[in-house]
Amino acid sequence: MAVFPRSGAHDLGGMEGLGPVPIEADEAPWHEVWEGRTLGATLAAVVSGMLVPPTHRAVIEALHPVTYLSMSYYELWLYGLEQRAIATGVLTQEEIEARLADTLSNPDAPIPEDRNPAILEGVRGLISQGVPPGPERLEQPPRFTRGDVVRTKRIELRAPGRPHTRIPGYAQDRLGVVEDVRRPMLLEDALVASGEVRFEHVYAVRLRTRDIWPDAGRRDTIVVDLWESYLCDDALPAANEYEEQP
Amino acid sequence: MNHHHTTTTTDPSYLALRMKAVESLLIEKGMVSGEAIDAITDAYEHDIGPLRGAGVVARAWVDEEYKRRLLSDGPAAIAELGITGFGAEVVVVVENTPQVHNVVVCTLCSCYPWALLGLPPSWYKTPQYRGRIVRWPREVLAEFGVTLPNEVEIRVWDSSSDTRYLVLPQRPAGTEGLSERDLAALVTRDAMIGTGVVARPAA
Repeated sequence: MAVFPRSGAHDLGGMEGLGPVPIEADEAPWHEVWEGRTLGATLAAVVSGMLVPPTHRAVIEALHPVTYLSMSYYELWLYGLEQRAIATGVLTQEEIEARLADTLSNPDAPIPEDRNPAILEGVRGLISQGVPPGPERLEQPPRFTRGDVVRTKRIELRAPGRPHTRIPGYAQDRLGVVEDVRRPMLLEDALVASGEVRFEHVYAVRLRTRDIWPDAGRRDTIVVDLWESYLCDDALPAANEYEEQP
Repeated sequence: MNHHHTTTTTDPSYLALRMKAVESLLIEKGMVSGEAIDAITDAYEHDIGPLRGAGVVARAWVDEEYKRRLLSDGPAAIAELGITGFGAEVVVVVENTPQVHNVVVCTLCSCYPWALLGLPPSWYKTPQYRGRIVRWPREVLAEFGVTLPNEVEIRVWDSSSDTRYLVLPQRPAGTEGLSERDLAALVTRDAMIGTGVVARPAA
């Protein structure tokens, strides 16, 4: 039995008792038309600048675990879209519930006609060009380099002002090796906590699976991308000592 | 009895009407437009799918120099083939070898290289896959029909950052005479996630 903290129901790595993966052959991109519309509306709202913090992840991770695990992927997207529209002041809960009541009583009412060339061009650009990935370099050089042994921190989400993190529970408080240095990336923890836009160096850190779950395959590994502030160099063994451990 | 939480417990027709209500409100507020939503659904239904990733793999199989560039700078190398866009801004390609088999997951959410593979299959987003592949990779791969010798290292890439992974599968034996286009046709989506291997073509 591995003991480590989970950040919530979304932090699923290593969860017991889930059963076989349900695999569906020849699947379409979505099963219901509304699922595609939810995805499309969310991307369009990105283009319109509606979806500033809280982030989608922060919103859905705040759900009760039972609710989170019973909602489908696109249901979570719809919930995220609504909650972020409310958080940014574009809609109110009352507006949504009132329009929903109208729609339920008159399901065939037409959706308002509209043409908005700016949004259309914007989504075409988003799909074909993506989101600019931020600065290639930071003022401070990376603290770690390929081959370094590092220790990952324990990130306690119950601490005040820390509602979100991108380090999985199983990867916390572990020894690992820097497999590669990624380009700097936005730290979502800081964005969610305070709106701060902070870029940090990111490292692909290789963990030994059996260090986490002793019954795991002897050679098997996990590589997880971790931001610099998740890492420390306290009480580290030398790289050769780490690699030589049985 | 169905133990899988792969579909919602809420009535789909209710969710369809709820989304319709939200869409109409957001249109009135000028935040989305019907034609923009149509453009997105159309792109993921018709244009953006695993054929893109398969083209990258086939090119890497026939062109050693391209493969070297692909493994060292993923975004630049896929852009050479005209592939850019949402969900492939920071692409890292990881190569399967006789010693190492790579497989991709996102345990915290469902991050996936959209611009290379399209939208993720349902199973990729399930708690079953997200929860189990890091801890029991051999059992999960067996459910996909993939059995690997115990000497092979299974390396699971957890997509916890903006990095999006594509697995470069091993080229099967018996494909020496095939064209790049015929090779691409052999490459499955699952092989590029790492839950499949590319099979030798039937004789």
